[in-house]
Amino acid sequence: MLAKYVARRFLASLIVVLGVTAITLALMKTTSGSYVPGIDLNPALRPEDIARLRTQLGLDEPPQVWYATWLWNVIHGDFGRSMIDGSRVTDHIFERLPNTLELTATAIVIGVLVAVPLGVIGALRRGSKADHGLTVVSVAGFAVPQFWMGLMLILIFSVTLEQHGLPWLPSSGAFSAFQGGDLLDRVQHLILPATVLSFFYTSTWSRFIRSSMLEVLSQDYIRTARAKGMSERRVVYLHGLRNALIPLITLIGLELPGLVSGGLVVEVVFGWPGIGKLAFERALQYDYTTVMGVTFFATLLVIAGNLLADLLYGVLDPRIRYG
Amino acid sequence: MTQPLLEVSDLHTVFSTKEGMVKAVDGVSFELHAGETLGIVGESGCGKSVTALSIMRLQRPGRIVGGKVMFKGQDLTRVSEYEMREVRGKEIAMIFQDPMTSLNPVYRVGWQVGEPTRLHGGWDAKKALSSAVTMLARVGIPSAAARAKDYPHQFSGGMRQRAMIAMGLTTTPEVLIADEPTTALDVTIQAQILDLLRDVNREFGTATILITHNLGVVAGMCQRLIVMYAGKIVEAGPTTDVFANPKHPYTWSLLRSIPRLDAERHEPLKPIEGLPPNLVDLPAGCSFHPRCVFKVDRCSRDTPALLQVGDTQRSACWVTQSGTELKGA
Amino acid sequence: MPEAATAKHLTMAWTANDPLLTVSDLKVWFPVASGVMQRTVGHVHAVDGVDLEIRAGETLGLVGESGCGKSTLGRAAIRLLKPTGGTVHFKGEDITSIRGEHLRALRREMAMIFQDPYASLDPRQTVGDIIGEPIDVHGLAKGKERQDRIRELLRVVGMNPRFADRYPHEFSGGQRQRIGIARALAVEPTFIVCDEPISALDVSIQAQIINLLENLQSKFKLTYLFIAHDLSVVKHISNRVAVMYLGKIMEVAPGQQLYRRPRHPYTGSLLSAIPIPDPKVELQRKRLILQGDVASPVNPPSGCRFRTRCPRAASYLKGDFVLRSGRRSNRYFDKFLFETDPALLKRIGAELARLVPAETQRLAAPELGAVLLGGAVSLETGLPLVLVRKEPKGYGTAKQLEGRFHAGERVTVIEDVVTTGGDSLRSIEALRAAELDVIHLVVVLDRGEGGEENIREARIPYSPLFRIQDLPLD
Repeated sequence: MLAKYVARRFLASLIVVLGVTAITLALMKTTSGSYVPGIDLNPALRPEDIARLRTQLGLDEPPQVWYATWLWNVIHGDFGRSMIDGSRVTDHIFERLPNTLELTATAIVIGVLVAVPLGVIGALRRGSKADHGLTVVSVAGFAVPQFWMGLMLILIFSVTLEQHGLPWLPSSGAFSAFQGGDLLDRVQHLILPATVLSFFYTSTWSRFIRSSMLEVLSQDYIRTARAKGMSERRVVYLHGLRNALIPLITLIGLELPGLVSGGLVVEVVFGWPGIGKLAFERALQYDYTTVMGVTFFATLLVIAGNLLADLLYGVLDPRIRYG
Repeated sequence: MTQPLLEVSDLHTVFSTKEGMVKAVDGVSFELHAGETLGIVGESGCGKSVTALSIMRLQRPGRIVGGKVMFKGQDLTRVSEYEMREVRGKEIAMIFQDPMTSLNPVYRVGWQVGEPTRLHGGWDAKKALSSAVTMLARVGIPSAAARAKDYPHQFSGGMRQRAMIAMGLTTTPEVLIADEPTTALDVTIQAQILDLLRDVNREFGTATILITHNLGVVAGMCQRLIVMYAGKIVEAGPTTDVFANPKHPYTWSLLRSIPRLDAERHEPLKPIEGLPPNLVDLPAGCSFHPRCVFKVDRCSRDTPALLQVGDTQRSACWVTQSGTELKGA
Repeated sequence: MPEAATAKHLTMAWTANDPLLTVSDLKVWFPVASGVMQRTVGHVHAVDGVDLEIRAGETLGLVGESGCGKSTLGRAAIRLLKPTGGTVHFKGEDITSIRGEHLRALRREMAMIFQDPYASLDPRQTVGDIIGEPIDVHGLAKGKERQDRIRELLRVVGMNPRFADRYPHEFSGGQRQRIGIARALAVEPTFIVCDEPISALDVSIQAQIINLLENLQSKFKLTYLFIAHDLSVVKHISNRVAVMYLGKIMEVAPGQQLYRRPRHPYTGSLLSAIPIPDPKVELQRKRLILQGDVASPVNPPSGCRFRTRCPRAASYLKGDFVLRSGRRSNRYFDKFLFETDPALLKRIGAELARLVPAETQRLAAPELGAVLLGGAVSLETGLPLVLVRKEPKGYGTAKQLEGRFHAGERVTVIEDVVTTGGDSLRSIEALRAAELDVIHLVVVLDRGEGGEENIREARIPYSPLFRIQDLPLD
């Protein structure tokens, strides 16, 4: 039953992947005009060279033909080569993907680990000073733009601390260019971008957990649990929390696209070598093949995340059956 | 008379609302004896459920502001929260109106039914589950061992209420409080559950407080009966006496306003005129006087106390306390 | 075409002595969707072949438990829902599939009063607007005349005419129900469907509304279809009462007659389940408690809808049976009982008899290791039984049955051969209720060596061999 469900979901997601990549191509086609990727990198190109380049890259073909060719190659495992630097698109992606996963996974884990206790505290002490404080912080969380917060953190923890001769945190990249790359170095680089990315989610999710927990605590089965004579702790954490978490799973699933795009801003600000930054840079240069490849993988990532969330939902909520 | 099992005296529970302070329970006193079934009857908002929740100290966000609940020599309104937990679910169990929402949807029924024995008896999971299965079978769940592995949504309403009853009984409590246990159920299922509660009372000797708005349910289930109106007890006594010869105009009118299945002819009902009381803004004197057909001048000035009227009943009514019989068209 | 249709209606002369509303073989099914593509996988047979007549000026009570289809029937009768099948005639006219202007004209004749006085009134409209809406829709009155009309309607339902400018939240449940009644009366209908009009109200208020409805009926010569789950209320207000169960009408009779002499086992059980507010009566009543829950309306039982809970149906087990074929057995039996309409049963019986010679044929009940032994027919009821023997291992119990079964011989099924130490019928019912898939089968299990219960093993999966619709019927 479950295998059948996953298979059906997979089929449905194929349609999504096709749609998203087709739209991406259409958008690039309509905005690029007669621009040929890479021409400003080489001022020596003559008009006939450019025309040759156009034909070579397939830019003269109608977009649907280009798309069909691209798709045909993708089906055969060939994502093509970058129109800018000529290296394999898959090499680019597999080089960057682990960095993106590292950043977003850290942000999600931190987000959940911080948001759940904060949300529960907010719900249990509704109206208290702690609750009001949490409300202020979380309103700030979604009001403050990520790029601004990123820049402020860089200003404080990298620039100012370094100026005062204090230990400081690196502001750019995933590891140091020289003698870097060990675990400590990577963690140091991760701290600032992960803080920015998780802060936004912590503030949304903690509010969400708070209201979800409040609703759960007003349910009849919580009264039943209290009437059995269990401690309030047991009532809240055993009978309440699992029910309160169920909607959060959906929320995280729904926000996965946001995590990828939100990751893009953070990756650009912190020079984080992930696929978001890759897509951003290459989109500016109209590197069709790379952007299409990144889009393809990012979409798969989002679909996989959603599926995971749905399956987790089923684990937490026995009323859900996959059919 | 033997010592009562549970003795509630002058209980006051209040709620703060935007419109003002609501006295949900306003000086309620009664006794529950071992093995008996006591009915508490009244319409929505009369305070019958809050009374029950106050006994369990589960009345939040309401506050108990006065009175005593004596149980086994201790006043439950004063014991520590820790001691109260030892009473809840172990010595006094409670089942609720809506079986559809009273079980936790994410845990298996057997696990939930066994939880009180794990909490109070310190039983391990296996022992608790097997006692839960035994109890589920006892309350009439077919294939109990298999059904214990089901989740609540796989149970029908009647079966969920059976499971709730089983959950209450695993620790063999001395008191079972059933708050409108059949209101959400269909009549044929209601009959099954009432039958089960009778069985339980007989077999385990559990003293039961049955809270309901249905006078028919009380008539078939309870030896004694309390009628509540606007937070107060207006009449109390043996069920047969109260039904045969009500000593409070509210009880009297209520009995005349409901259609009876066994009525021989079609006679027009005699409704209680007026509106149900607004707890925020109760009338002075007796709360029922604006709707009362027997009222005298004094009723709108002074609040009557619940006093002995006749041999077996108590009533909070100036009219019947002065010896007047309730009669009328 | 419209002319032809009108002409046809005119030819069906309707007189006031004819039924006001006639419902014939009415069906309302709702699709059950499932899966990503939301494919229809079945139907809820909410109303499944109902015939009913409502006479002008009477109150027909419609009583039944939740989910029996009574509300759906009420809505379909006044075309708030389009029936899946069957016809509805109002004043002799077929209104089953009328549309547009025709349907709008019909709406002036019919109205509905709803259960929940809190949900059925728009909180942003004043009471006057709520009552005035049907007047506006049908263009019945304007300006001052409209205002007068609204005030008059409020007066009629026992409310202060000045309340027209207030909002619903300012009123209690009983007052809101009065507003709902005034709204229903605004179009001056002849026929009103009252759908549980008092069940959301406080006990002390219910009688006020019942009396109001009765007064309005005699004042305006109204006809009511009064839908409720409370038989005492229905009996009080109705001339005749229809009892509904799982999409079908079980019995229709005048209230008093229904109470004194119920002709359907379900009516009897329903009457017995309703508590009477009199301890003297209540303490002496014989209780007839139905076992189990209502079967699923998606897959209703074949034959009589009530048979899965029917005490009479279960009592067939106590009768005498003739073993049609099979072989002598000195072992213990498990029995499978079929019960449905007699014609079908005869054919099933024949088919089973044909199957019986294959004695070694295993049932698809591997955990029981059961072997089909024979078919039997009850002498009392003509209902066939199938006898099944378990594989030899683990036997030797239930000595009382040993040697009792022979081909062609009269046998008596001993009642207390069943589990749980209690009443066998109860266990049988419980088993049936527990396992929807064995709805066609009654399983009687033995008690183990030490008296332990064997219920759990009795959860036999639905066997294709025994699926009634699979058996060749011709």
